[in-house]
Amino acid sequence: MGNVITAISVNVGAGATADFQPGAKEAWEVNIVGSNKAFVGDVPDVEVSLKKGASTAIMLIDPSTDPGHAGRMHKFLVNNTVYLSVKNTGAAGANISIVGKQISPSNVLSDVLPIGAGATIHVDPGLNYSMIVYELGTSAYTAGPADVNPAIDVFQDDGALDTAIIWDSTMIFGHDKFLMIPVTNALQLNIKDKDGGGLNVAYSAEKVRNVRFIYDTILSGADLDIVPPAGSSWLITCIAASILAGVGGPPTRYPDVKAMILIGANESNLMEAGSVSPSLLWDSPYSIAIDNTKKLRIHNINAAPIDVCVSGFLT
Amino acid sequence: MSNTISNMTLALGAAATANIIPAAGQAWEINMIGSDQVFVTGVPDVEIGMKKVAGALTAIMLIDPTVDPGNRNRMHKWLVTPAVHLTIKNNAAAGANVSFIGKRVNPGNVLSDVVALGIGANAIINPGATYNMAIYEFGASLFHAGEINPDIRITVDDATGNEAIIWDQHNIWGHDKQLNIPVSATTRLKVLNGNAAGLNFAYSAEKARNPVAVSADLATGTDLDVIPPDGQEWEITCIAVELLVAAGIGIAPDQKPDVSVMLVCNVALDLSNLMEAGSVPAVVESLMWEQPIAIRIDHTHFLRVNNVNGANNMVAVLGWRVA
Repeated sequence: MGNVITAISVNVGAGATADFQPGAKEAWEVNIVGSNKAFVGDVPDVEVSLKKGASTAIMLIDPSTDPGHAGRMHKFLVNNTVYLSVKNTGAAGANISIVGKQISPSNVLSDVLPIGAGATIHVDPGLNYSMIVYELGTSAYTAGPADVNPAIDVFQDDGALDTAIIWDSTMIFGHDKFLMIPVTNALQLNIKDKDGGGLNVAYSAEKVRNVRFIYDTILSGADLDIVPPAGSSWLITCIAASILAGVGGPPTRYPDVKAMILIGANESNLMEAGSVSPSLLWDSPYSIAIDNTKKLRIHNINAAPIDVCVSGFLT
Repeated sequence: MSNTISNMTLALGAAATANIIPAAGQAWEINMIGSDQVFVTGVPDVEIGMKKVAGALTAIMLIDPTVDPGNRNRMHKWLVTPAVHLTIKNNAAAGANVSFIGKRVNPGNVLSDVVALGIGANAIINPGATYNMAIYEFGASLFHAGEINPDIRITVDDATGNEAIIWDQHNIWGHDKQLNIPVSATTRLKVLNGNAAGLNFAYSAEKARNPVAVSADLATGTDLDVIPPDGQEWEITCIAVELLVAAGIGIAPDQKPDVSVMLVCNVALDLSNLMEAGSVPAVVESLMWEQPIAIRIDHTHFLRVNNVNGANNMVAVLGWRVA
């Protein structure tokens, strides 16, 4: 049997929705969504959601509202219970397509969860395995016009600290890039409703091994050194900080720390702090290879203490 | 032994250059560059080059960010050996600790090179009959003055005399994304010097298996169907097109391939567009043209490329057989 799950739902009516649902023991990775109608904002005129039962959350909002990150490849991992739903936001019927492949259904951990008004939920894969989160979405978005984002704040939480920001609903930072967020029972995600009325949140995720992280408070002017044990190499994919700063105001604020490679006592900057010259890499996927002698140093340039979580994988 | 090769050159003087050379018998994949001096336009104030020891040929992979920040807002894939290595020039006004992040790779697989091109000359990249290659990055020693790009034009050469463009130095298209170009003895690349002077160009590449390619010179309104044989699956990573157009603009640097890329499925051969043509008025540019792509197709879920231009249009669709 082929692995290609690429498919078309034919002549989906204006405003109608096509569900793309794997079979009972299947799982898919969906990378691209298409439409044969005129593109809007340079992307297909569709709204893409994850759906679980009657609960849905928008992963790619109607491009007339915001093209967002609809212009890149995605990694929507879906199965028979949490699947993709694509709404034709064009004015006429459209052939809606998905492009992707089959994957192991036992690895998919994607979910759609409700959050009460002003409440916070914890994403915890439990003790048996760890997970990596690639995409996040919600049923409600911020109004803009400064920035249209899922109406949630997302933090990392190791049980002691919980303020390092993955997503701030008022900021551009991190919203359009492909995410690679390690999550374990010891490093959970906290997702807070910022809509005020409660909403659904969805994430695309799968099982993964060997998550590593360091989470600490860095005083003003101080450093946090990320040093794998001797003989270990880590790949750092996520750096979150509790304070975002910028030369201007929102929505262009970034972690107010700089990330440096540290060899011996010598430093060289890889990512600059938000209040200095925010590095373009904050808005791109990265994977920083370090070991016991080629380390990562996070330096707090802010006048206040910053909680920083640096997470990745043992390689 | 750790595979991490991340390292640093200390106090590199203003305008000085550090050579980043793997030890004999090693090869490295370098993904990031850093500097402890003030960033310029959000990126480290350095210029990255590739240097081929034989002939001392050099080419710029990331130009001085004061000139153009270019494609530095992403990870890179520079594959280097002792014979073709990386250079980092400190553009800052003071000494800098310049660094690189990466890992060891198999030296037997690296095919990166720096090649000299005379005035008006072109070179063919042909890995030969023994193996195939994937190209991830390109650079040149001279850059185009308007839209700041390496001053080379890169086309797919299937030996028919028609050439589909991967890079045109006058246009933004394709220059800032991570490339994944399959190249073989039958689907080669032609690199043309666009500058009034001779230059060098460089590419980062490695051996790769199972490239696939379909190309045709399409008449107006006709299609190229990219259909893997029954039982095969392909991942399409590169679509090259002869004619670049921009609706409402019509001129460089915003021109995009003037073809629509569609998925074809079902017995009825239903169509759905994945990437829209440059000349379609409502679109101007499909964002996916500027992103790395990996479009999975098989014998019954295949790709169709439609020439919307009023002239014949050479199209080459390249990828990898994955099943």
